[in-house]
Amino acid sequence: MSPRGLIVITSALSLIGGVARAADAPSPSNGAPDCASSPESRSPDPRCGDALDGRDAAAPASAAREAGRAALFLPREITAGLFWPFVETADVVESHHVQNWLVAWLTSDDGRVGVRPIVKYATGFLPTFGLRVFYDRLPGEGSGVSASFETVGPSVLIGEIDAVAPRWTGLTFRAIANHRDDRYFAGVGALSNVDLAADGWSPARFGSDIFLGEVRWTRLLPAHFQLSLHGDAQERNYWADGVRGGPSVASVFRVSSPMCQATVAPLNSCVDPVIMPGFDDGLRIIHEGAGIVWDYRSHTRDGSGAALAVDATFAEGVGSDPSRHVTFSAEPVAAIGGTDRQLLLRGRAVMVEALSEAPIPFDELAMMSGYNGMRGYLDGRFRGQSGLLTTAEYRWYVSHAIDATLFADFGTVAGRDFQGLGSARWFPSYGFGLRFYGTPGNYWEGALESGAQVVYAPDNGFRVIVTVASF
Amino acid sequence: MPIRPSTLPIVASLVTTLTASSAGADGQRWFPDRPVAWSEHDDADMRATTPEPTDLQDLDSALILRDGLAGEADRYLSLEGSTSALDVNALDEVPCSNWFCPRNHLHPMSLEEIAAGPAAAAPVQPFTIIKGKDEGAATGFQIVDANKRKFMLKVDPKDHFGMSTGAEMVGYRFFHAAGYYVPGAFHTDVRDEDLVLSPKATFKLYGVEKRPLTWERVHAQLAGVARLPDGRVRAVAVPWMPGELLGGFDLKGHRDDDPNDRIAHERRRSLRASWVLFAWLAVLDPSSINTMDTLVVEDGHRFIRHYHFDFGCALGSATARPATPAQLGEYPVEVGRSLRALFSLGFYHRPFEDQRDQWRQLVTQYPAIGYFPATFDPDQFRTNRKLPTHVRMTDRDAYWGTKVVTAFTDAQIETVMATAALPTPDAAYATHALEVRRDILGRRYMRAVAAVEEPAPSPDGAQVCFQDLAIARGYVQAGEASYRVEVTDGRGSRLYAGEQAPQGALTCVPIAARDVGTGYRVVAISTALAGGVPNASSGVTKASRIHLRWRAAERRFVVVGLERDE
Repeated sequence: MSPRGLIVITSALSLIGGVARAADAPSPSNGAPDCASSPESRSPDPRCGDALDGRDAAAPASAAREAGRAALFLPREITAGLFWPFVETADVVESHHVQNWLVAWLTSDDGRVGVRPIVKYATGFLPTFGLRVFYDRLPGEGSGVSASFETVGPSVLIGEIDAVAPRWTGLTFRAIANHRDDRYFAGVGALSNVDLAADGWSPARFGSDIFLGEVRWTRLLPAHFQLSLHGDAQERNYWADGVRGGPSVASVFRVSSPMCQATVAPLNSCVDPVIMPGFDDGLRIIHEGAGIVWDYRSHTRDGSGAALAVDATFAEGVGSDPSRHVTFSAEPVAAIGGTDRQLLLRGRAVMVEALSEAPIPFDELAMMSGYNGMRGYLDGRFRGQSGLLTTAEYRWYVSHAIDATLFADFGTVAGRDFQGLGSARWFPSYGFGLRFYGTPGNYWEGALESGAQVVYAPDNGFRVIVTVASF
Repeated sequence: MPIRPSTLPIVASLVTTLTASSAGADGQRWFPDRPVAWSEHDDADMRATTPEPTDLQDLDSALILRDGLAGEADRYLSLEGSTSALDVNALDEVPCSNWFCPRNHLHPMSLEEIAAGPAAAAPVQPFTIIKGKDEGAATGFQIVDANKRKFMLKVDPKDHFGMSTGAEMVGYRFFHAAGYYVPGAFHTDVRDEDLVLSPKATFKLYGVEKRPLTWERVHAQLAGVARLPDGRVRAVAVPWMPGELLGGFDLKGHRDDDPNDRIAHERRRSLRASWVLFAWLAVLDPSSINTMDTLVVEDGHRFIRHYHFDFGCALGSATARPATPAQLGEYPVEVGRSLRALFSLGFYHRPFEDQRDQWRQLVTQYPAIGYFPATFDPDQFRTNRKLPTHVRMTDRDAYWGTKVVTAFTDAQIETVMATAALPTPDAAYATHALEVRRDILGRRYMRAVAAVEEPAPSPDGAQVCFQDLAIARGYVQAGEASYRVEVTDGRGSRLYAGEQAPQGALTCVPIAARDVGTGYRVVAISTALAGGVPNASSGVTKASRIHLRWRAAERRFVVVGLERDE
């Protein structure tokens, strides 16, 4: 046989053998693949570096796409860098069960005793950090006691004890000890910053120690009514030196006497008792009151309805405190709901009536500013014997756990029985907020958990409040 | 210079090599003439490797941030675009692997097979509780049965008898029949007195602190579950997955310590197109928390198998309560929608915002099902996580997933629903809803791509014939369709172009076989539908392309590949 014939026969036999081997191609359980056999006779095998469809790799991206990627390289890296700390932090926290461990360390096995952190912040005041301890092992369903303590250092020390009796009693108890050196006062009446300046005044600060013990009884009545009776005893002491966040009230609202010149250290006795009655002596006072709430609102995030709360509280000084007055308040709320939207209209009227010759203490006047009133202004900015507030707030769904809000507050204070209201200056504030809900079930039934608001007031600038309206 | 005869074999080899090259001049990637791959061979022995357990099942917010925000931003900024799945063979099918092994849609299962689910032995009472259930929303316990086999026992919430357990029974069976690896589920009704508490039983308080599991705690948990009128607890027993548990698998990238894990997970069609099954069954939670890698030993080989589990949040169930419209219609974080809602002052409208009344009606009428609307918009369906696999699903992947779903017949659906042992009205409604939802998906995705299947040359070799699966399954009417056919030679030269009507479910189109030429043909078929094509104003589907090669020994063209536009 010629060499050429041998080559042909050998090749043919090899080809036949390759086909035969392909037919017996090793299955996964038979061991390593026979990558040496002809690709045409065996199925694509990734163990041999084949793509499953047998084709070569796709061509690289077009030049235009590569150019685009190159152009976006920096934004891409920056974006990745911005997200990285959040992703990694979440990864560490969750993979090491940090939250679970914190809850485990801070809570009893039955979940009825524990400790939780507290954080509060509002522009113009020092933020506070603290802990709340709760104990829910008291007899009776719904009963429990909690104690909290917040501070940011010696300037702010707030302690509170709350106790809830068994639900059927309707009783709650509260005791507060509140020490702050950054409380706010800007005169009495609807005084703008210009008005204050014209009188040689400005917003000022003072310190206070407030000790309060309160008992409240609440009873649900038919037809969506709720009755509450409440009483408290308070001791308040004020001071003018060592305050934080602005000039002392003793410097701004001072009596004209040689002892109380600007160059003298602020003294309680230098605070004008006409403007701030009760400052020097403090308050020793008891309150007794009753309130009725009618609440016919759907409490979904976009529910409609109306509510009205009225309250009358009588105050009387104890011991040498001559105070004797009564405070009336009314707060209507109307909610107009749409699909995942809600418009709220709220009003609030407060009137304080003196029942004796003694002046109403400055700290017992109607205060219409703060996170529950005219939100663009600090707590204590506007005080008067009467006050009015109106709010329009529009809320809408952003995501299952977030609502956004736009709101406007208009408020003012006036004299006795709303005297001077017609000519009083009204103070607007406008704001935007986000409300965060817990939504274990349907999102429209979510429970408000927290929020934040940014508010602008023409006479006060911008404020950030880490809380949201609860009405 | 004349070619010497001795050099002819060399020349022939060169010519063969050139013609066998897989890239045509027009960038068309040619399929080779070789057997189709039906196995991925990802079970090579990994004895030399010791895989580490992952902690993916513990990650929630981290994965939302990584995949829903950072990952999405990176995907857009990297101009990733549409990418082809890589676990696909020459017939555009997913071969068998330890991720997925095709079952029903390629080899129709009998009603008995589909009702049986994955091969596993049913639990035998009495049950001994050995551990509390530390993860997930469902109330349950780890148990061993009378034969010392381990199971997870899960129960229904009060007021929704059968909702969660029924969903488990149904979900496991459909996923198994589709081809996924699942542990299975057995329906079992338990008396409290049939439960034994192991003295060594523990649970993890707050998910971290080990405590003895007491009868007090067990009874407290069972106080809030659904019961039969005779007091028995309705439960489902899920067999423990075989092998060493290694934690959930990531839906992006590879597992570094698995040499068999050659394809990035976000490039796996079996994972991408699982979205279609999740949408069909309204499964809320498809994330890594409900996946499991297990290290198994089979035939002396040690390798990793990839499981899906926990279908208690399927159909209308969110495990501990009925699902809600928002859960089925929006991711927890959807930046685009949230910003649109924010800046439109709430006037941006999401479809699920109109479904409250429907939710109330369905949950009240079918408490054993929950919120499971029969009609839905697949394009609006969301699970509770934006997954790297699902967001990369192309129309081609979705078509394949729909092929899997629409392969389930009405009889099969009814059989699977029967295993859930639900009250008759609820079972009848859920069966109807599954059929309707299946057909909605069929119309959405099988009308988006030319549904070319089973291509084969005609006996005379002049045509290639194929089954139009959309016509065969009733999602396209033959009378409304017209095929646009273009035949090229694989190097950019058009050999034929024409339009023809379907010949029923089976149609043949010419391949211009008279002149062999390059020996390669690409037959591109797109379907013009008078009834419209989803998301295509042109009314023409994306194309499927049949690849043929000239097999000289047989003197005919043979089908070597099938691909589709992404």
